[in-house]
Amino acid sequence: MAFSFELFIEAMLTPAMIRGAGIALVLTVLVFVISFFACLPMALWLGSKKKLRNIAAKLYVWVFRAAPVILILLFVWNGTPQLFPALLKSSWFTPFVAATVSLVLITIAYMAEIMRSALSSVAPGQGEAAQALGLGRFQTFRLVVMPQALRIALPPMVNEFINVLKVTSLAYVISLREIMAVVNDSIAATFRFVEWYTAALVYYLIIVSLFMMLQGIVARRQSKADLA
Amino acid sequence: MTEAVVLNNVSKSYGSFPVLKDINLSVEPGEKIVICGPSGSGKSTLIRTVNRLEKHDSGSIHVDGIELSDDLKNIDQIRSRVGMCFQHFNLFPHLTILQNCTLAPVHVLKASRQEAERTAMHYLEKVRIPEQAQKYPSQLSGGQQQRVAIARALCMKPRMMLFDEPTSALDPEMIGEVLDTIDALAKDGMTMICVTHEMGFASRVADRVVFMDAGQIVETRPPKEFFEDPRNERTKKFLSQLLN
Repeated sequence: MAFSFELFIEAMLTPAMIRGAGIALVLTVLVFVISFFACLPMALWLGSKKKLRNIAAKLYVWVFRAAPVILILLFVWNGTPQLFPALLKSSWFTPFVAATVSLVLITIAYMAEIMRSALSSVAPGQGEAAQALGLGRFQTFRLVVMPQALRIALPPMVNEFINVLKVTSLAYVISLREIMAVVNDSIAATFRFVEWYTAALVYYLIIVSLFMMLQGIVARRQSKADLA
Repeated sequence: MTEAVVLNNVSKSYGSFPVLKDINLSVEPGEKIVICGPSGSGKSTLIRTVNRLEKHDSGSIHVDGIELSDDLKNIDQIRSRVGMCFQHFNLFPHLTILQNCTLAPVHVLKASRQEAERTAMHYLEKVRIPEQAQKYPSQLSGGQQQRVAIARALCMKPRMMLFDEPTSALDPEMIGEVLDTIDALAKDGMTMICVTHEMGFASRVADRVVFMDAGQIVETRPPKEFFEDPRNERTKKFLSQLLN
């Protein structure tokens, strides 16, 4: 059976596939945004001199970097209802919610490491200069330290974004109807592997390209300040 | 009249290593103090305690009559009245020169943007660098950056300025332009405490020279006496090393 271009286009345009791509995109953005804000305290704790906070943060990162994504997905989807039976009856605990929680837990660990190293690469004199001018601790962080750390963190953050997008494909194991779940079902019905896999690949390429373009725009804005 | 700064028996140590031992110093409004001494003598730590970038362990520090304690309100109040310039300028690299100068006035003094920009341009003109306002710090020379740092501090309308070795990181040909700027500020009557090795500047500008060694103030005297007739052995040794 040769590659059927028609079938490939049909696969691309299947409503289930388009919805799957939408789910993957929304899930990725949601996980990324939640993880970004949640990783900030974790990053500060990772660099903290206070023992208890530091150990707690390191322990967290250690666990969630070591755990396979599939394990966490299954743990959250199958495991938490065993501990909290109320979840079984609740209408809001959907595969989408379970996938979001699982991926946020993992992504926080990776992003916290990225932010910690970015924050520590901002010269200590920056914070001192801001405080000497009378800026409070939070203002110093928000207006002086954070913008400089973000610039350093941007490339690894984009990598992390792409990574999150790719691991959303594993959420088919908890029956989330994202791209790979749709593809697997369609192949089971048609046995046309190549057309459906290619269609999935193209969707991932499109989403990643969109965000690389976005990164390019942000980087160009920043580079004005780095001329010399 | 309240003293600008009063340090009373101030001590500080890093772990078991004492960096400041029983420091007593009072600075009158309008007075210019130059602090010198060998490296590691505690000069930088001393001026950094005045705006609480370093916490003192014992003794008391009053700035403009306000005591420096753990009370954050007092610390913020003092920091907005005391300007500071650092050895490595510490300009904010992600902001333009103008934004460097308006950041604190807008966010601390709650000045409007137009007002802050007007003030910023006024002080950038004063340090003779208004044409660089739209550039970023990395596009300026070291001397220009330090002058911007001075303007940035002045935009907060401080009653006093602290200089922590403002010319130590500069190429020799740029030292003059920065010292001239500080000179002009001194003539305007600004109270200042300056840590520096520039002895020509000290004798020209200072009302008193403070010599420190091993965390202690060894002598405090007017510059003429200090340079021509140092009393203490350590001072003599330091000055002869500086001249050779």
